[in-house]
Amino acid sequence: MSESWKQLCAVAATALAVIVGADIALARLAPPRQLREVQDGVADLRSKNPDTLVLGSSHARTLHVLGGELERRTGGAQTLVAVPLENGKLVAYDWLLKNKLEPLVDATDGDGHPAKSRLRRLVLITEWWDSCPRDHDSPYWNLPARAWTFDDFLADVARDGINGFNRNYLQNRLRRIFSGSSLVYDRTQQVLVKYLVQAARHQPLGPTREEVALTTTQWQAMVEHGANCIGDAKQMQALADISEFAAARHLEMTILLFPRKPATLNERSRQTTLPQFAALVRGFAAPRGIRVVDLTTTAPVGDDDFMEDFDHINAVGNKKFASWALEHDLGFLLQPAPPPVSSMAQGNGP
Amino acid sequence: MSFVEVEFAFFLPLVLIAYWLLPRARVAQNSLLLVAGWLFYASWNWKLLSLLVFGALLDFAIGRSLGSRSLGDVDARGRRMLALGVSLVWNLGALAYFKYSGFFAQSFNELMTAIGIGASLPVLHVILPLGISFYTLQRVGYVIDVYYERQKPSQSLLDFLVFAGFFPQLTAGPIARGAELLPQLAQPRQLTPKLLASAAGTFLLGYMLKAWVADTVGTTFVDPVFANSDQYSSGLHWLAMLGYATQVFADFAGYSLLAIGTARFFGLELPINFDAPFISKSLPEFWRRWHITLNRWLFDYIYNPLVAGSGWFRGRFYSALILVFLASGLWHGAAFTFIVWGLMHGIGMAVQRGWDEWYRGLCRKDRKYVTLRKSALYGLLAWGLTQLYFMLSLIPFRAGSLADAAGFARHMFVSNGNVTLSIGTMSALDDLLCVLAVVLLHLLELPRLRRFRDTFFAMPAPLRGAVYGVLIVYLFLFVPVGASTFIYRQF
Repeated sequence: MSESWKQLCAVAATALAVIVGADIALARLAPPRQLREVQDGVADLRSKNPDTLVLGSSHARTLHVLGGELERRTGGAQTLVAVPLENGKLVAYDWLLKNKLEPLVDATDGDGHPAKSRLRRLVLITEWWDSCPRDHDSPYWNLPARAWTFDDFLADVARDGINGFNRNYLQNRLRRIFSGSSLVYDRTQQVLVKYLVQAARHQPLGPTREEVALTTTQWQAMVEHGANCIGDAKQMQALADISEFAAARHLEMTILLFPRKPATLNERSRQTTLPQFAALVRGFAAPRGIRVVDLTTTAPVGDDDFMEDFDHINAVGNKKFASWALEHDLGFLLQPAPPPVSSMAQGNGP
Repeated sequence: MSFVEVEFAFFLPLVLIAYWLLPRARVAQNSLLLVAGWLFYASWNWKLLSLLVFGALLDFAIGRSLGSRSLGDVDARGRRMLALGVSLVWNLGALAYFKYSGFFAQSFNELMTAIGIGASLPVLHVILPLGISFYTLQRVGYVIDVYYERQKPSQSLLDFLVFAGFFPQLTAGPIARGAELLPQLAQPRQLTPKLLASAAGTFLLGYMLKAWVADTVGTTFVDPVFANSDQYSSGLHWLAMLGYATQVFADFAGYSLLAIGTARFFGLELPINFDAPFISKSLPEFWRRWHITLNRWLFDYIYNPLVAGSGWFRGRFYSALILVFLASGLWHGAAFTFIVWGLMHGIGMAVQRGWDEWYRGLCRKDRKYVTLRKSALYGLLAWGLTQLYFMLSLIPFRAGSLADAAGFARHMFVSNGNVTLSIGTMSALDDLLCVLAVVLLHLLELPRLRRFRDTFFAMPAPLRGAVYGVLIVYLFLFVPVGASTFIYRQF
């Protein structure tokens, strides 16, 4: 190795050492969270034979925790696999179901028997936002891309070229490659600089009182305005497709309306958006024999049980929710689902 | 695909690894560069790749045809002119169709309506092929050089196709001459530590300028003021103009450095595009330092032939200057705002030329004017006027319409706006650092201060590595999320 190559390596090694050192130090302020992603859910469904399949947005992560509690309480007699599709909406869940989950659900073993022979239930976690149309001026929220394979990505690029929509696939792959890095993780969170300043001023880390007040106001306005967009035709058609998927496979379907952080709800949204959406879902579910569990405001999770993003239940809240839900509205998961009238096992399934 | 988008983080390493794993042979290396270039372009729009490929094939054939007959061959003059004409018609015709047909049709219709004639031309809404303004000029330059025998025609189709579609410069230059790139493509490239260090350093500097400086300054105190000009005070308008000058420099100089750095990773050298333009003390100097490759193209292929040719423009330097900068304005975009911008610079260059001639006359009469010209005060005044003129010319350049430009210009002097820019302390410090980074880059180009730059490169390797490491960590923390499009990519 020539002297120059040595120098170059020394420059690169020192630079890398500084970056890694800073990354480790900054991780003490804001450690990267290893979140369960759609790929994890798909991988679990591929390798397991669960009794219940849970599909939903990032909120489905809470049901993953509940799945652990379910397994513990039933001694493994009842299991579930939760597939969380970050920021998904009903159309995205439908895409995921048809393109990634259906092949696994309908797979057979070497003897021609259904590979997912125990699967009897489908739980769809949703809320009012899922039934609103996609924000067309923001193509970057293409979260189905998180469930894409490289082939899906190539097909989309061949059709439309590289754009903000399909770029999500690459961004997500890149983030997963560096999932242990606090610096990379902060590109999605943008809190490190603030925390550094707070640490330097010996202040508690986290959002300030003003930021909390502002975020609360924004959330309340968003939920309130939800009344204007719920029930979008495309999203409702996707819901119908999902229910048909379940019916065709004789899966007992439940629609779970996920808890909202109480502070994000004002009196107006409690009287408009929430009841209107609940009525919409019940109206859809009743003729199809679908169970609806509305925990939007009834689950015993308080403001402190939610993360700083105001949207997701935190680790403590998840445990609390799992324990409570299995003793109340989701207690049915502890019992085996009633056998279908004409089951797939009898050869009448799709 | 662009240098600061996520796909490039996958594309570049993959192509680089493949490139340097290949045998160090011209054909192998150029074949990979060709495939990479076409893939790069197709990732934007594979259908319009055919336009790029066909134009390149045509110009290669025309180059060969021109090379087969000497310029001095009187019998072949007609055939040579025909070949040149075909290339110019195809290249400039495609550029005119895709870039200007809609603008001219719409302008014609508006003019007809204004004078009460109900005629209307159909306004075509066609996609502007990415990079067409850049790759067209590069190929036209090559064909003209071959025509005048300043450049030997490329004998290798492979080399020429890479020259016409080299992905680092494909979308926004730098516009290379055939003589700069083709000889390099004719040789196999070797990987050296010096090359790699230079490539990485240039790339990092380019990324810093684009992703950090341009995007930070643009979003914090340029875009808000331009979007709602009437709401802000005159002072903030001046600040926004300063910010926009910083942004547009950092954006395009950053892009150019990313292109040059990327090319160096492949062992190829592209011409520089920026040379500290904000230290210029005259408009001609400014244009020798700003978007160098475009301006030399305009002077090589429009200005010089005009003033040295046998036509009406022969010796009419002032008119030729105005025409060249009008062409530059139109090249930047099919809009009246760009035409006004070009006109401003054409007039500015003409005035500067007149001033220089007049002042030279004074100097010949009295040596004290020579001394005055060399004084710090003269230099400061010249620098201030040059930069102020450039900054003011950016108003139509940035504005969405002439009315917006006029409104912004008015608000720079009279404004009832009282909205303040709400920037946090950290953000304000970050903005300040952005501007200081640009200032520092310019200062380090001054002959007296260049030694500081050299001192850095003479530091022990671990120390330099630590500086790079800190810089990268800083960029991780402060580069705004969501890369924006390069400003010059739209041209």
